[in-house]
Amino acid sequence: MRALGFRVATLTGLIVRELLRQNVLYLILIPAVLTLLTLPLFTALTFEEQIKFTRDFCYGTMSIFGVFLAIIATAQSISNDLEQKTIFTILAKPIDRWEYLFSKGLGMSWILFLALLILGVLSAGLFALQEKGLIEAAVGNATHPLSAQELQGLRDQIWNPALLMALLILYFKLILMVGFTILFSTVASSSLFTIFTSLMIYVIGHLQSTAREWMMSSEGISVGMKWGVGFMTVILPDMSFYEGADRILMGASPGLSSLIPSFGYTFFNLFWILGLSTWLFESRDFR
Amino acid sequence: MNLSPPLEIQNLQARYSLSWNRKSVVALDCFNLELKAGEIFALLGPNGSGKTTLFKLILGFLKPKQGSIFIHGERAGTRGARSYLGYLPENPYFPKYLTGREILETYGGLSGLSPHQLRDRIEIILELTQMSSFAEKALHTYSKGMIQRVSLGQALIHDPQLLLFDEPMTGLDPQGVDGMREAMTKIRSLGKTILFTSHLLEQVETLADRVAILYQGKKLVEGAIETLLKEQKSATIQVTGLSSEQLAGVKAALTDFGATSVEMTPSSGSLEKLFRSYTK
Repeated sequence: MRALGFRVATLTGLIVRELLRQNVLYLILIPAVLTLLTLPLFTALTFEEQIKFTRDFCYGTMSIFGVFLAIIATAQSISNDLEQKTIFTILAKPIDRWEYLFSKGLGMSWILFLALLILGVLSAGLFALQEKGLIEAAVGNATHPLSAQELQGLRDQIWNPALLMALLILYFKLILMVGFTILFSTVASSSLFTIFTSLMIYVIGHLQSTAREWMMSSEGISVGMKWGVGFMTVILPDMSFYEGADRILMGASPGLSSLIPSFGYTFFNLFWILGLSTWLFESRDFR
Repeated sequence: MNLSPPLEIQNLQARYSLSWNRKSVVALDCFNLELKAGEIFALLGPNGSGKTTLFKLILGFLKPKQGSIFIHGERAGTRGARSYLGYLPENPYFPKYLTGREILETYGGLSGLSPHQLRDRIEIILELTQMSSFAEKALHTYSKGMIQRVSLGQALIHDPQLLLFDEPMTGLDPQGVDGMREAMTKIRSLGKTILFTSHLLEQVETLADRVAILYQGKKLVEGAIETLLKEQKSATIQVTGLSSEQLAGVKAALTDFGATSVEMTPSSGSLEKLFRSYTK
């Protein structure tokens, strides 16, 4: 068990070091930072609109660039090992193939954590920069002098602690996409195929619940079709499990228990994805 | 101590299909091999004869169509089997930003060695591979010979019993070749078994205890070099198909040609001649 720990820790460390030196990380992270830095340009809105816009803008930027990072960096990491044949020296060691895939996922999780931390801190900085101006504008537009309680209410709207939960939900979603990308990498011969398929799955995942509801409520749908839809529901990701983040962005402040659906869904899926990926990777010949 | 043979291959057959027309190609056919502990065994053969495929089968990167491979009694491809194996690929690739020492640490960690075990082991490997002087430098500053020594080091880091070296001397300068030969001799003296491939037949002749020649996926011949070379000489006599009377005639003819002695004493030919005679 200790040896397993050393193997996984070493491989995860190697992957994190590799990813930190890959251009792809910076090619995605730098545009994300630059996009966030354009936020102060959009200021001609009311207090509520500005708060909503700032949240959506920051979260949207983290979400879009996070998905690109999760998919592209994971796909490149595995395909680089195959193309440069590093995989031969790694898998020649007494390391199981599931350990290799698991470590890839773990390494990517660290990188995504780091990326969200950087973008999250930057977003918080932008919120802080806007706070003073927003409150001054709100006070100026108010029909009566605002009480200390009302001022605190305004600050609470800006600094809603539930936003951290929204970030955590986004993190779970990105980890799920890392899992799917690893799954496709185990059978793909090019990173381009993996990236394209994973992005497609991401889009389908967002449309799945709507499509399912529409099909199930349609009249005249056959039993076979219903089974088919049920099967697709199981194997394709359903991003509606991560809608809790959208509710938080709308201003809701749910309890920690609202994390359970996204957390449970993510780790249930990662469990079978790792199993299937391992089985496919075990069956694969390395010429 | 594990008393099972370091490597036992029985009736091995491997095929692969060409993707464009699904035509199946036999990479190895009816291949049998058993290595003895502590020997250096060389696999010879032209490009495409199945040598690297055999290594990949032993390492579990490919699955055989039929037959079995056991490494110290463990079925090939299992983690247990790989714990006995050290692999030096033909064109090793390592992250260029790591130093030689970091490569050893990484591959030791991948083998499940604890930081404490690694500290001691790395010092032994640095000395064995003579890489102490450049172990702290990043790999992008290394020559081909230095990278080959790092590759040898990572293969040895977890103290495996059976070493698989794929063309370990290819691309090395004469000093590099000497260094690799010296290292291989040292490794054998530690009781390890080495299976290697090489096109440098002179080096094989001085290093290997036994050889096998592969051609188009089939093993043509196997044995101790000395024995094979002697057999090659006697075979030359056999193919003449001469009777004793005719042999006497040959002897007489040789004498007529001016030979002072016609006694047929076996003298060793070269491994290169043997190789060419089988693969021409």
